Amino acid sequence: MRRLRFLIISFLSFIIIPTPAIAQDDDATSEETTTQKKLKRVVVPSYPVKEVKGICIDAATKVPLAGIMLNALGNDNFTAMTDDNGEFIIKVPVYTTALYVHSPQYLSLQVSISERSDNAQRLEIRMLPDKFLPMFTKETNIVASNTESITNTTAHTIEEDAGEIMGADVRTLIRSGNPGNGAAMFIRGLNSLNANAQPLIVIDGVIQDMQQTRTSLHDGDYTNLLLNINPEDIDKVTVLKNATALYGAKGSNGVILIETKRGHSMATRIDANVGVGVSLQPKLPTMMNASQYRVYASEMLGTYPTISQFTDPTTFKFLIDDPSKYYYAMYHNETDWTKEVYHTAMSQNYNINVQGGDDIGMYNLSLGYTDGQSTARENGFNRLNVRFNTDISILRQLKVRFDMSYTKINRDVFDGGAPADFDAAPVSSPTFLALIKSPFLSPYTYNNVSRYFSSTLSEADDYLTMLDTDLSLGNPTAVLKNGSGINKNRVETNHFNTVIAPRFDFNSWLSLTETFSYTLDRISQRYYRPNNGMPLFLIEGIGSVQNKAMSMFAKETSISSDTRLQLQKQMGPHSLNAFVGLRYLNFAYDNNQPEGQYANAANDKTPNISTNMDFYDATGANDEWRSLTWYANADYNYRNRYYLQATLAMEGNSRFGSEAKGVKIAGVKWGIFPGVQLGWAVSNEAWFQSLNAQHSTLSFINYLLLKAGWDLSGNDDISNYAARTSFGISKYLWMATAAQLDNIGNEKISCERTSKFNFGFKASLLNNRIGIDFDYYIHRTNDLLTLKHFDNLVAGIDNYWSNGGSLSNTGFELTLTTKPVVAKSLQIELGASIGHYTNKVKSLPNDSRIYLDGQQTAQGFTSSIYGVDNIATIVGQPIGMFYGYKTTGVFATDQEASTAGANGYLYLTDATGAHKNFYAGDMHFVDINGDGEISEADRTIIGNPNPDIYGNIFANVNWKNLTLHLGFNYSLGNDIFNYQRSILEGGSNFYNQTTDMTNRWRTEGQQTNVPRISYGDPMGNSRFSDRWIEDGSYLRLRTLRLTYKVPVSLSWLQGLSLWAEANNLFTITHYLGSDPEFSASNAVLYQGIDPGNVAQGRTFTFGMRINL
Amino acid sequence: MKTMINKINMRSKEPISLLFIICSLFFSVACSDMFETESDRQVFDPELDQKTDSMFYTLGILKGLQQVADQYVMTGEMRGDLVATNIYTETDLRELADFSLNSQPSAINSNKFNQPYLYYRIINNCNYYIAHRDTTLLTGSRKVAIPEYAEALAVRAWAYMQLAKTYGEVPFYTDPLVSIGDANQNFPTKDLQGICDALAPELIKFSGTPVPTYGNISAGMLNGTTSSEEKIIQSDKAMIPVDAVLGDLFLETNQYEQAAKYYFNYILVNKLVAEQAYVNPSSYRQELAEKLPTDADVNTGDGDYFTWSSIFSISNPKDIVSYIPLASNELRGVTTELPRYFGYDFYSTTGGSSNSTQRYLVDRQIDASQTYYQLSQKQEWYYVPRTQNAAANIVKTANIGDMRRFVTMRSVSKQDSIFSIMTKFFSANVPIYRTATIYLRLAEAMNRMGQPEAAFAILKDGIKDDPSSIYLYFHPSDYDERMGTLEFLDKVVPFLSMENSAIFVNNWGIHSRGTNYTQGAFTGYQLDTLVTQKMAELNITPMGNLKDTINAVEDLICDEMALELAFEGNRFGDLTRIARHKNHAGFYQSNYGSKWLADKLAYKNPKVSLLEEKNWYLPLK
Repeated sequence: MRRLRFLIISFLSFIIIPTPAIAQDDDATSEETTTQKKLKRVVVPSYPVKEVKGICIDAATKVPLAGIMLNALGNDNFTAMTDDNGEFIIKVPVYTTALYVHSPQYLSLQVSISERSDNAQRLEIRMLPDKFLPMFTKETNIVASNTESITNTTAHTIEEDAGEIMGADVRTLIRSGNPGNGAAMFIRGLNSLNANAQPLIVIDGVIQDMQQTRTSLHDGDYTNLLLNINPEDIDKVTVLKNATALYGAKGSNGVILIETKRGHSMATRIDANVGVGVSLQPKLPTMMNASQYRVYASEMLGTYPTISQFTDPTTFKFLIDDPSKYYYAMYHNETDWTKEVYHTAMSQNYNINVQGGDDIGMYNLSLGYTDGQSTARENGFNRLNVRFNTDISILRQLKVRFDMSYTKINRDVFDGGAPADFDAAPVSSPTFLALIKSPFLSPYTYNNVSRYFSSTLSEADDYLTMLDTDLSLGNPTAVLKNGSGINKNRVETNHFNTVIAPRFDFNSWLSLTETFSYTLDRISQRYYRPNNGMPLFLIEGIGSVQNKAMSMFAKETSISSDTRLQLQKQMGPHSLNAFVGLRYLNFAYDNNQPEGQYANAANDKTPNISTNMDFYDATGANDEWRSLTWYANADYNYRNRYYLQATLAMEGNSRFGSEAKGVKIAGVKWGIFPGVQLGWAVSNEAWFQSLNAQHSTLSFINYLLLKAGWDLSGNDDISNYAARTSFGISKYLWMATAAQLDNIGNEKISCERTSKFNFGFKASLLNNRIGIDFDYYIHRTNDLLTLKHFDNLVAGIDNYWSNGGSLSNTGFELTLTTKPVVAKSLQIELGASIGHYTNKVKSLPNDSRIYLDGQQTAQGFTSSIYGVDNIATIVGQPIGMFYGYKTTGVFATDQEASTAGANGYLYLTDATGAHKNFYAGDMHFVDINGDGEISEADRTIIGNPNPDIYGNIFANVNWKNLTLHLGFNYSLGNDIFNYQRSILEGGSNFYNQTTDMTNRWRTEGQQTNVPRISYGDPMGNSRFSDRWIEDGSYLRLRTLRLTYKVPVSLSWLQGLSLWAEANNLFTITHYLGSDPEFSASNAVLYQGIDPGNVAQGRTFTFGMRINL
Repeated sequence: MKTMINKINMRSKEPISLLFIICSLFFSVACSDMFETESDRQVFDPELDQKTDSMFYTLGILKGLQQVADQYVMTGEMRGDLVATNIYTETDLRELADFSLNSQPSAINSNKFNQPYLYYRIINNCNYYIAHRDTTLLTGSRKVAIPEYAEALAVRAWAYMQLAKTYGEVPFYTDPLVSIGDANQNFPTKDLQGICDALAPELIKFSGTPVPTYGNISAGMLNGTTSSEEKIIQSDKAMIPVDAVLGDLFLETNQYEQAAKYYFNYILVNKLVAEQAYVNPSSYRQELAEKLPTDADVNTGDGDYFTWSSIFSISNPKDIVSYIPLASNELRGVTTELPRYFGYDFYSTTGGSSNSTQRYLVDRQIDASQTYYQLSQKQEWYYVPRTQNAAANIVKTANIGDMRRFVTMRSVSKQDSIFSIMTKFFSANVPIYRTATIYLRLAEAMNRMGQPEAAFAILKDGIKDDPSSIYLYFHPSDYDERMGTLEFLDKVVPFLSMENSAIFVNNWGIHSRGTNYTQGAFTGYQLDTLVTQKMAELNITPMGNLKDTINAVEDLICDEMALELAFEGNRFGDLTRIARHKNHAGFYQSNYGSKWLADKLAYKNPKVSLLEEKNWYLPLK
C-alpha cells in the first residue's frame, strides 16, 4: 500500500508543482529505517588475510582523526574505522594492494599497502579537507576522462561551466554574449570535416540528439537544447575523451555524460538558491563620429559610379552646412547608436531542490526559474524547469528508476552580427545596424515647426536614396520596437522527457536493466523583420520587399531503449564488472518553415505569413533515423594493479548503406566498434612499495597509474538519406509539382570512423599535494564524409556523399593541480591545464588542386564561408585554413605602385579579361607567383583557426568560511578571421566605419596601412586577405567567485551561504574584435570566423544558498 | 515490447534464456526493413504504378530540360557563325566562341556551359521512368500511360542526341542508375549513329503518339513594378514530340528518307501548317531610312497570317512546336540567364514594362555577328506595287534585306550609347522545335533525297495544292532520271495527295516571313537564280547537274535557318550536320563539308582547326 501511496504522491507532486511541505509530510510518515538493513547478508568467501595498521591524521593540523572509514579497494567486505586516536587496524585479504579511505569533510584517498603481512607496516594517512577538488574515487579510471561535480554555478547552460572547469579536456567556445546560447565544444581537435564534430551528449544514460547541425531562423542565434537542463539540476559531468567504442557510431567526437541529481539520503534536504545579476555592455568597436562620417560619406559619394549625373550639390541634404536650412537639424546629430541597442541587463535565477525518500522510494524534485536578459536589448530568455527523479523499490529484486522532466523556454531573439550576404536582405541586425548607421542621424523624427525631435521613430534613412534606394539603412531603434513581441521575434522550446528503467537483480552479482526513454522537443521559432523603420529592399531578380516573416515549427521525438545484463563480481584477486546489452534508438525530426515577404501592404500589426504575401515559400525536413546496437563491455582488474577494459559494439543504422563496411547479419550491415584499455597502477606494486620504503627519495610518489588504450568509434552524422536513391519533390514553374531524381544512393555509405590511441598517466605526489594527469593521443579519422565527384558524369548528379579522405588529430592534455597551502583555516589550491592538438588532413577523395605558394599543386578544395573560396582544406594541412591574399601595406605613391609588378603595375583581370592596375592608394597584394597579375594563383594560407594551446588556470582559496574561486581560460596561437571588421573597415560603401578608417589613403605619398575608399571596391582592396586575419590569443578571467558560509546552526536551517560572482572581469588579448571567444557555428569549417555576434560583457551576480 | 520484457523479467529467473528471447526478438525485426525510414520530403524507389504518378515524374523530366536550357543554347549558338563577342563577354562564353575550351568538365573551374551531367540528369530520370512505368494502365480501353511513356523515350533520345552533337562519342546506358556502384562503372560509348541505332527502333513504335498535356501551367506573375501579367505555359508545348526527335535522329545520321518520313508524319498527324508570318516594314521606317519603297503595300491582306514577332511572345507563342518555358522569377522555378546575355533584363523588378529601356543592358555579352547582318541585308524584299491587284504579275524588289533581323535585333539607345539587343528571349522561353524548324529540316532531308525543287518550295511558296502556285519554279532538267516533284509530293512526302492536300492550303514559304512576296512565278525569288548565285558564292563552276543544285539548295536552306532560327541554339548543330551531309555525299572533295564549315567560321579565328571533325566537339572525360 505504501508503495502505491508513494507513487501517487510522487505523481501528484509532480503535477501540482509541490511545495517542500508535501515532501516533508511524506518524509515524516516514513519509518526510520536505514538502507543498510535491506542489504542481504553476503557470505564472504574466506581468504587468508593480512593485517594493516595505521593512523589517519589531518594533513593540516596533524591531529589524529576518528571515524575515518577504510576498506580494501574495490571490496566493501573488508572495512574498518579509525578509533578516537585516529588509529585503525584493518584485516584485508593478502592479495589486497590498496585501501580506500573516505570520510565526510575529507577527500577520499586510495592508499597503497605493502605486500607483507608482518606488523612492520604502519601507515600514516594524511587526510586533506574536502575544500579541495576531489582526487580519488573508489574506482580506478583507466580511460582519458574527467568528471566534475557541479556545485556553485551561475551558468545558464552546462557547457559554460564545462568550459571553465574542464579546461583542456573540452575546448569550449561560448557562442555569443546572448545568454543561453551555450558553447560549441570540441574534444581532442576536430574529428570530422563535414559531419558534426560536437561531442555526443548522454543524459542519465540516454543518448540525445542535440540538433547540433540544425539551423536557426535568426542570424547569430543557436537553438541550444542543452539549455533545457538547468545546471542546478546537474550532479556530475563526465567528459569521455576516448574509450567511446561503447557508443558505436556516435562516439567519435567524444562523449559528455551528464548525470542529474538524485535522492541519496533519507533525510529530507531542501536546497534553495537565489541569484540576481547584472551584465554590462560589451566592448564594441570605436566608430567614426558624425563629422568624421560626413567627410567619409562625401568622399565616398565622389567614387559612386553614377555621381556625374548629380550636378546639383543640394541633392545630398546631409552636406548642407547652413543651420538655418530645413534639413540641417535632421542631418546634424551625434547619435551613439550603440546606446540604442545595448543596455545593462538583469538576470535572475531561482531554484529549489528537494531530496528525500524512504526505503521504498527516493526522490529528487527540483523547480527552477531563470530569467537571463542580454545586453543587446530585447534579447534574452526565461526558463521554467521541473525535474522529478525517483528510484523506487517495487520488489526486493525489482527496482524502477522513474524520471520526468519538463522545461519551457521563451527566448526573445533578433538577428545579430554582420550578415554573410548583403544582397539577400536588408541589414536587420539591430546591433550591427548600430555600428554602421550614420551617426549624424537621429532615431527620432525632427519636427521643423516645434524645432524639436519628436517621439516618433524615424523611418529608414533617405540621405542616399537618390543614388540608389538600396543604400538606405534601417533605424535600429525602430527595428527593436516594431520587431519585438511574442508573435514576432521569439523562440519557444518545450522539452519533455520521461525515463522508466526497471532493474531486476537476480542475485548480488547479476542484474538486468531496461532503460526506456521518451523525449519530445518542440521548437517554435518566429522571425519578423518589421516594415516600419526598415527600408524597402530590392532582391535582385525578384523584387522589392518590405517586411519578412518566417516561422519554423520543429518537433523531434526521441525514443530509446537500452537493455543491459550486468555482472559484477569479485573473485578473490580478480575483479570483474561486465555487461552486455542492446540499445535501440529512434529519432524522428520534422520541421516546417514557411516564409513570406510583402512587396507592399506590409503591416507590423499583422506579422503573420499569409498567402496574400507577394513572395512566399516553404521548406522543411522530415528525417527519421534509427539504430540498433549490440554491445558488450568488461572491466577487469587483478589485485587493483592490472586493469583491462574491453569493449565491443555492433551497430546497425538506418543511415548506413546496404554495402557499408562491417559484417552482414540478418540482411543488415553492422558496423563493428572495438576498444581495449589497459591500466597499470604502478604504485600498487609490491616492488614499488618496497622501493618506496627503502628509498625515501621515491616516497614522494603517492600514486601512479599508467594507462594505454585503443578504440574505434563512429560518427553517423552522415546525410540522413545518403544511402537512398530518392526523388526530390519540387516545383515545376509556379504551381505544378515535379519529382526529380535528386540523389543516387551510395550503398557503401557508412559512418566516419575514428581510431583513438591514448597513452597517459595519473600521478599524485608529495602527500597528494600535487596531482598530475597527462594523456597523449593519436586520433585518426578515416572514411570522412565527403562530397565526391562521380568518376564519370553519367549519373546526372554532380557529386554524392561518400566515405573518403582521412585526417588525424594528435595532441595531449596535461592537468596539474597543486595544494600549496594546507592549513587549519587556510587552504589554497592552484591548478592549470594545457590542451594541445595538431590537426592534419591526411587524404581527400577528389584530386582537385589549388594554389599554394604560387603553384597549383596542393590537393584540396576551398569553401566559401563569409567570403568567396576563402576556407581551404588541403592535404597535409589542418582543416579549415584561412586561404587568401597576403598584403604588404598600401601603395603610398604612384612610383611605388608602378614598380610593384613584374611589368610595371600589378593588375587584376576582370570577368571579361580586361586588365585593371593597382595604383597608389590600393592595397599591395603579394604577387606570389610573380606574374604581375593578382589572381587566384596568388592565394595561399594566411591563417590557422586552431590554437597552439588552450586550457584553464584556476585557484581556490578557502579561509575559514570564505571561499574565493578564480577561473581563467586561455587560448594561444589561434587566428581569427574578423569578418565584422572587414565590413567596418572595408571602405567600399556608405556604412559607418571604425575610426581606423580616418587613416585611409587620400593623397600621393601618404604612408598608411588603410587603402583608399572606393564605392563597390572595384580593385578588391577589401577582399579576403591577411588584413582581416588577427591573432586570437587571449587570457580571460572567466570567473571570480567569493562565497561566505554563514555560520548558522539552527534546527530549521542547515546552512546558509552568500556568494558573489564576477564573470569576464578582464580579457588580455590583441584581438581587435569585441570578443576573442565566439562561435558562429558548430561546423568545423566555420571555426575562427567572427561575424560579430553579441559579445560577452562583464557580469556581476549576487546570491544566496539556503539549506533547510 | 518494453512491457513484454518487463513481464518476462518478473517471471523468469533464467537470465540466459531471457537474453536469448530478447536477442531472437530483435534479430527477427532487425532485417533490413527495420532500417528503412520514410520521409514526406523525398520519395524513395517509387514504383510508378499509379495513374496519378505520371505527371509529377514527367514534369521532373521537363524540369531537367529547364536546367539545361542555357547550356543548350550557348553551346549551340556561341560556336556558330551568327554571334560575336564584345568587351563585356565573360570568359566562359569567349571560350566557346573561339573554340578554346579544352578543360574537361568537372565541378571546379570548369566552363559553366560544359556540364554534360545536366543532360545525363534528364537521361537518368527518363531511364527510371521508362524502366518503372506501368504502361498497361487503362482508363476504359485507353492506355493512359502511353503518351508520357513515349515522351520519356523522346526526351531521352533528344538528350542523347544533344550530347552526341556536343561531345561526339558519349557514354550510353538505358537502365536507371540507382546506386553509386552502377553509376561509377564504365559505360560503352556511342556516337550519333550508335544512338540512333539504339534508340530509334523503340521510338518508332510510338510514332504518331500525341504528347501528353496537362493544360495550362502558370509560370508566375512577371516581374516589374507595374506589371501584373501572368506567364502561362501550354504544357503540351513543353513536351518534345516523338516524330520530331525521330526525324532529327535520322537527319543527323544522313538517313534522309527516314528523316523525311517522320518529319512529315509529325506534320500530318498534327496538321502542322507553316502559316504566313509577317514583319511589317513600316514599323521600321527609322531603321530603313528612305529605302522602303513608297509603292509597297505594307498591309499584306493575303489570307491568314500572324506577325512574326509573336513567335517570341510570352504566353501564347505562335509557331512553337516545343519549347522550354522558364519561370517568371527564381521563386517560381528554374530561371534563365539567356535574356541577360543578349542584353535584356527579363527579371528586372524596377524596369517597368517589357519594352522599357531600363531593361536593356549596355553590358550585353553577345552581339550578332557581321555574317548575320550581311546575310540579312543581302536578301531582296519582294512586293507587289500598291497599284496592282493581288493577282498581279508584277513583283518588285527592294534592297531592304530580310525584315526578320529588325525584330530579332532591336536597336536601342541607353546611357549615351546605341547598341542592338536580341529580342527572342524577351519571353524567357527557349524554342526547341518550331513549325519552321520542322519544315526546314524536312526541306533539308528532301533536298538530300534528290528533290531540291520540293525542298525549295518550302522556302518559297510553301507546299500547297494551290491553283495560283503552278510550280513554274520547278526545274526538271533531269526529269528522266528521278521521280517528278509533283509525284514525289504526292507519294513519298504526300503533302499533295488527295487525302492530305486540303490540310496544307495555308502553307506559306518560310523565306517570305522576312522578304514578303516570294510566291509565284513573277517574284525574283526563283530557284534557278538563287542556285546560280549560291554556286558563285561557293566558287563552284556550274556543271548543270543535280549534285550542284542539291549542294546549293542545302546552303540556301542553311541560310534560311540562320534568318529564321538565329540565336535559338540550333546554329552550330545545323552547321555541323550540314557539313556532315556534305562530307557524306562526297560530291566534291572528301572533306568538302569540313572545309565548308571551317570557312564559315574562319572569321572567329578558332583556336583549333575545324577541318578536323574531332575539333567540332567539346572535351568529355
